[in-house]
Amino acid sequence: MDTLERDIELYVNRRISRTQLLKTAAAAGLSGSALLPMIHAQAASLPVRPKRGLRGPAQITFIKGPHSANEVAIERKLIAQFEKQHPNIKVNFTMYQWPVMDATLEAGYASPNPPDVAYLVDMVYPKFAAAGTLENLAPYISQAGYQSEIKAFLPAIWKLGNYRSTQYGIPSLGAVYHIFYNKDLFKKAGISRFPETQDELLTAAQKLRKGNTWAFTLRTNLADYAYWDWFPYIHDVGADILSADQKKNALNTPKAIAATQFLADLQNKYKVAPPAGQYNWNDDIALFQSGRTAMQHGEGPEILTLQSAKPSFNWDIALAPRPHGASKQTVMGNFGFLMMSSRSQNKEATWEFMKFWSGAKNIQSFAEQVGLQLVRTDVPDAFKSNPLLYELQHSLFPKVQGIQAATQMRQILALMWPNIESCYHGQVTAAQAIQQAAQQIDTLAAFN
Amino acid sequence: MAEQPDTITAASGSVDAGIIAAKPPLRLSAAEHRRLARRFYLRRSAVGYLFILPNLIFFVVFLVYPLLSVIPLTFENGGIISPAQWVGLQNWQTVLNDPIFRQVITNTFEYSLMAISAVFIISFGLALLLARVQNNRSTGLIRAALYFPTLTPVVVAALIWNFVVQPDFGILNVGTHALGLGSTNWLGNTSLVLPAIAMLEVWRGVGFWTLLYLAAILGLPRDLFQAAQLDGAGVWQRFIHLTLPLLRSTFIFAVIWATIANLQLFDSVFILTDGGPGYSSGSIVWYIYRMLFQFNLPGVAASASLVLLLITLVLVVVELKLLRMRRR
Repeated sequence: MDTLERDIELYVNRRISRTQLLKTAAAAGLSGSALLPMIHAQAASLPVRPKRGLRGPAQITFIKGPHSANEVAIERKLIAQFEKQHPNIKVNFTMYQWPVMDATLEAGYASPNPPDVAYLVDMVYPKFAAAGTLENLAPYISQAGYQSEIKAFLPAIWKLGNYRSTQYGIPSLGAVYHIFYNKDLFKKAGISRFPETQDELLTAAQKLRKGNTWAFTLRTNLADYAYWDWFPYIHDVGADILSADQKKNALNTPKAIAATQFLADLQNKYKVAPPAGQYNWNDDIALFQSGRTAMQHGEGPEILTLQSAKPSFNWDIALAPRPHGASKQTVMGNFGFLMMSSRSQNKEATWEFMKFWSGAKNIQSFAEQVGLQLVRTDVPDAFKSNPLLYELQHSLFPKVQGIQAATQMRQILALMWPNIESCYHGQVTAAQAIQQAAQQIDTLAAFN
Repeated sequence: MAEQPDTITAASGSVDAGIIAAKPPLRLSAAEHRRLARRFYLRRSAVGYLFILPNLIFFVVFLVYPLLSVIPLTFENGGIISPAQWVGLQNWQTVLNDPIFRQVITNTFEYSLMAISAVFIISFGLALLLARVQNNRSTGLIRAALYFPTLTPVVVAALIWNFVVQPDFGILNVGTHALGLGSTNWLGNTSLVLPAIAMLEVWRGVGFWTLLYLAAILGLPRDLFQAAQLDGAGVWQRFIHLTLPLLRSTFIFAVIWATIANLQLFDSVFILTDGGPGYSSGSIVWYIYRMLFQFNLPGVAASASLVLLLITLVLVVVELKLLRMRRR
């Protein structure tokens, strides 16, 4: 037994191999599993090695998609301020491009050095959370000094960063999808105000459609995330992709079918909107800027683009009109969160950066520069220098109903959208499209 | 001069001692023979192997190993950003029963048929024309102009093509308008989207294949054609009975290479349509990309990629057999 104890001590201190230890154990009549408690006891008795101090500053990597052509310059300035306040932390900023966001993030999280902090959108983060690549922020947000910060975030958006009872994300920014309209064309057609209902929209559109000027454009391609323009009409009539328990679809309702058919009819029956697929989103924006579209579905950052382009007409923003049977009038929005990698080697440093970046002063400055919306309630002065962005933040943004956080949401939207697109193309009715979409949603929801 | 020792008499002491005791011939055993032959062969080819070693390492590390490691992935879920879970044949069932996968296979075949036949016919015709004007000064300029689109990166070409097919001001629609045919929604029409993408491939590929065929045509033996001409063979007869048969090996190479390349269609689809409208322009590789990166289903993506490999192998074997068949 003395020999065995000696060999266990040598093994724990890595002086002999496991094979040698097992031979000694076998000679003493002990099996490998019987050795385990003895090895653990020996290991526990070893003095704790003090952690080596960091040599130089902690390095963390922050990855984000671009919200502006000046994204890199804006981030560098913010990071410089952070590093000045935290000289022992260095931040390396890198970007993913939106069209290849999934591939870049997947490769990053699969690599030995995943990004410490990432900007992830609501539609995408659940699959990474389900895969265990994101850190549970509970230990950090429960720190005493952070409680007042949590209260500053809009509760519905804070909740959106919670997936299966675990808080993964700190809300950062929101994008609101609304309608831009050409006030001069409206005035010329004798329309005094923006339509609030489906019937008013059709009447106005029929007056506005003239020559090569379209009355109305909305996105139709999956590549352009066309569902953002479709969602307000669905949400207004009380429908959604998934039910509250996310076990089945909440889409297959008569009102949702009617709302979808109306959008298809604008293109195929009334011909006040271009045929589906004729223009992509960039074309839609260009058509509006050149005065060839009276109403265009767009998003917040386009406000800054239009303001700098200074088109030769007056324009404004509005909510999507309510379809028949609507119980409310909503605006679609999607949200970005800062999330920590579960394999980050510098979690404390990463948390410091997350708090800094999402803090009121810095996020307000960032949002004002790129035209996105704030998800905090403690920034009343935000966008005061830009009346349209101010209106977007304070009038439209409170009506946002966003996407549901579900593991398969990306897959659900990608699978079901072609059915709606076929309806837009006039190949199937909205009833057929939504029935097919509902079946696909139910199949995938069964995996939730 | 010293007398040569008489080894016979010296050895035996007398001439009668006998028969010349010559040294026996050197005989190796079979094993020794093999050992020496192997050593000789290795010595001779060692330098050759050293030259191909870097490429062989690259081939094994980046092609063979990934190919082999995809096979176990087809029987697992996860394995990229989450731990792998054994699921047996579930991924294979998902892929083979997925109507979208069947559609993208059909799309890929349709596209390949359109693109390959169009590119080959146009580029072969251009090569024949260029071969006739070989001694002209402008030949070099024409060749450069033809080859230029091939040099354009695929992504850039697709972005340019987006403008070419634009319904309002794209060159294609300006042309169809001028012919009284009106504008066409190329990328938004489920029937026209694949031809629109195939046209992009024709535009990019014609230059390369034209130069390939031109080089092959210029390498044909002139004396055969002169002899045929003297024998009274006309242009068409020389083309059918000499040009085409002599270019057989070039055709085989071209068809196989084009098949492999076109079955891997992805970039144009990703940039121009992302598989839409509906799934009418989705390709097999686009499906694999979507399954892996957008839906986080690496097992399904791996199964689909092996199906693509099998399809490619079968097609190549069939093409080789058909093209190598000789007329009796």
